[in-house]
Amino acid sequence: MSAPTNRRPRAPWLPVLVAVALGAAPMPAAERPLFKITVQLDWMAEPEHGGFYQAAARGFFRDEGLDVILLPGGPGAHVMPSVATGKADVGQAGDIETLLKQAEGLPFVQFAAVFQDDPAGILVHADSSVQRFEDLQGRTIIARPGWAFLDFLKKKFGLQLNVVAQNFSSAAFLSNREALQQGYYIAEPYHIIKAGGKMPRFLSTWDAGFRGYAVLVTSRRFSRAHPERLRAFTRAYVRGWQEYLEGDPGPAHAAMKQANANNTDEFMAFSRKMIIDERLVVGRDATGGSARIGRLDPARFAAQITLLEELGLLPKGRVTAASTMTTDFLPE
Amino acid sequence: MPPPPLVEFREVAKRFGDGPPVLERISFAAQPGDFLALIGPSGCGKSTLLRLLAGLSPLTAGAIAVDGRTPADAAAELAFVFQEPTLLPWLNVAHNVELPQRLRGVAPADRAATRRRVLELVRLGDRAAAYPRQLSGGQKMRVSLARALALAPRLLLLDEPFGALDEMTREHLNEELLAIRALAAWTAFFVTHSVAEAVFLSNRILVLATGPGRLHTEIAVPLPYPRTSDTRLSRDYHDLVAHVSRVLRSVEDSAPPPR
Amino acid sequence: MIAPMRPLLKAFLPAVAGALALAVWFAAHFLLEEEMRFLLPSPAAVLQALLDHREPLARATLNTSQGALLGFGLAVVVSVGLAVVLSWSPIVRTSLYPYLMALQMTPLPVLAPICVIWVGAGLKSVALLTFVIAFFPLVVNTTQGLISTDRHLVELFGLYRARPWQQLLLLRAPAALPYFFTGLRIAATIAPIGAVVADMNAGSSAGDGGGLGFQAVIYASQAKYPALFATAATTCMLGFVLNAAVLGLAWLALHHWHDSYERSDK
Repeated sequence: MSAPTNRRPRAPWLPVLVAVALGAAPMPAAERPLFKITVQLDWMAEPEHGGFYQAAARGFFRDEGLDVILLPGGPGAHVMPSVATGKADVGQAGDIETLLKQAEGLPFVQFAAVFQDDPAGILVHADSSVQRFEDLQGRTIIARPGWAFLDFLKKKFGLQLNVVAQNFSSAAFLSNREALQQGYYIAEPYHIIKAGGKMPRFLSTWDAGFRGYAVLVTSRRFSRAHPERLRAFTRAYVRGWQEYLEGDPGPAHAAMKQANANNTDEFMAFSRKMIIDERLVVGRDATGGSARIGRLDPARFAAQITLLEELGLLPKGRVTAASTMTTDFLPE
Repeated sequence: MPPPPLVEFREVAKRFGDGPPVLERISFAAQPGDFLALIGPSGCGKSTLLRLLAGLSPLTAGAIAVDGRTPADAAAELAFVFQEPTLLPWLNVAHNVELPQRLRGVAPADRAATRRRVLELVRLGDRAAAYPRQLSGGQKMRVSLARALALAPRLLLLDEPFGALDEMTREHLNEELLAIRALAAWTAFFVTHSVAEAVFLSNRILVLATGPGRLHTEIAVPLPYPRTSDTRLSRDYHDLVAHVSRVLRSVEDSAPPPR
Repeated sequence: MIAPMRPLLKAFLPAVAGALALAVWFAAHFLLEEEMRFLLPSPAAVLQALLDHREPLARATLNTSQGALLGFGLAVVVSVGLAVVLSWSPIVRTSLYPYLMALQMTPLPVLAPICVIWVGAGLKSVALLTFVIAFFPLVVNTTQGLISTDRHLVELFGLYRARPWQQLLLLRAPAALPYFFTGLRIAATIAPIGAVVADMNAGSSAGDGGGLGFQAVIYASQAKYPALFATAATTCMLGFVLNAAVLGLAWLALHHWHDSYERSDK
């Protein structure tokens, strides 16, 4: 609604009359003021954010009365602190990483799935001597220091591992045949091939038993204050993913290109195809399908928590499925 | 037949770069054992004259002979006492005094003997371990003097050494200086602003005039040595001080106005 | 005002201030609403984290100290040598100063990845980056000291026909010591910063693990904030120790003669 201007109007009563008239008349839903939700993405705009960009480009958020702002991330992006302090309302992250932080007292709620299976893992050269996780003994991995998966590997396989800080370029990986690097397998392999390397192999987290979701998180405060908004948000998001995967991803890709000039059609097609082929969003097991988009399973959370506690990565009893996630905001 | 002069100035002139001449046509001679005082109005070049003699500055014209040699060649015979004590603050009194010998390469044992002797001369034997910052102005000056004497020079050059001290201290130091000289008989050139000091110490006073600096008059001081504090009470002393003061005044009055 | 303070009082006042600060810290933590308390861990939690993580922190401190001391020591040696050269010739000084300046102005996080490519991650790059950050204040101050020798003293040495090496060793070097120590104190203050920032950018857990910067990155990434605070406190201590060591050295070298150590009441 427009506020009266500061300049002295010719007819001072005119704006007042218009405001009253507008206020009195019922407005169509699309013109009601949109509720703003800020989303902090975990990386620069890529097909892993297909649900968001399709929903935004096709107006699904607007249909639900939401004005969703997508903040691309990057090497320095801090999703967790942003959401914890309220700078962003919603963030995308790994569910196990989030669990560990919730155990440290950070006030998150995990409320929807992005990927049923998080495509994170360790990139390995095709002709590297590393074949299995056990072969990682004593090796150096280029990764984000503090990556939970590494602690998991150390505990589960009794490994000694060295970490060198990620600087997010392929150069270090390409220059050494025995190099090992943290990566998302729907993205890095493409860049490596494009830079002239051979298709790398992947030691994926779920092969090691680290079966994590990629999730959407919000702060407890936000979830208490705006439950209906979150439901509306999730509805639109799921709708966005459905169309992105099964329909025409054009609108999303156009928006992604605008958000990140480095996105090529070829890359986005590659990444999307991997997401579809690997059934990352709909679920790789027998019960997977369109109806699974965005759904979280409390039993799976409980199993993860138990596993982490057994490995000594989580203090016993600190968190439960109920204290960390909710299905309240998922579509019926 | 008079002994050959120890120091000879022949038509010495000095100018700095393209500037006006600071000294012009300076000619005189000093015998061994002389104590020459140089006085004159500000800017007459008396300090410059001393520095030329020490070899600290090159001549523009003329010649200086020290025992028949140039100042550079005669360096070993000279010692210089600056207006500031110029002690090395990180060395104690003993090490400051033996510095010239150390630079010359004299053996430690010999150095130790000499420094004990000269410190006794200036009556600072008990302060050998003290650092300069613990000493008074007068004490620092005495150390500077001791250092100058450490190499047993034949020619001692002093550039207003007591100028920064109070009158009592200055008078005492003047008496000490003469007492030391009685033991070693070096020849001295002493620049000063104080007529009383010049008369008390020297046997010859060179009065310089300014614009440019040149030798105006030489005044003999026939007071007998040894001179003590009593000398200052004598009639002759006072007459001489008055006479020299008049000469100095006339030189100052006839000086060209500063440019 | 307060007359020369007795040593007991001197120790007492900061202790009181410290206790007050701790109390405020405690209060602030509990004044936050429960969900937001993670932003400011209580002093007790930080202490607990210090204990819980004492092994990795001790190792990290050792590693950072090694890198810092290595880089620092190297900086001292190279800068003194360079200062002697620079003090010799105004031409060399004028030619080189802008480049030294440029090196100093380049931000560390930009230099860090370059260093990693050149010498590899770990101790070598930490030492190199510490060297870079500590080098400039040392060079500038020491050079200044070497060229600022009292003119009269230089003349004195000239009168005694001192040779150039005598002049350097017996006159210019001791005279330059106070300046050198000024540079050393500045360098000691910023060297740990260099070591930690270097470690954050170029660190690796190879060998015995990374340094304090690397640990900080890990704790931050894991949202282990009490441990992060504990790491900050440890880094602070490291800086204190290095500074104290330098102050002690300066006292040893200068206290018997330099004006800055004069007691105000003689």
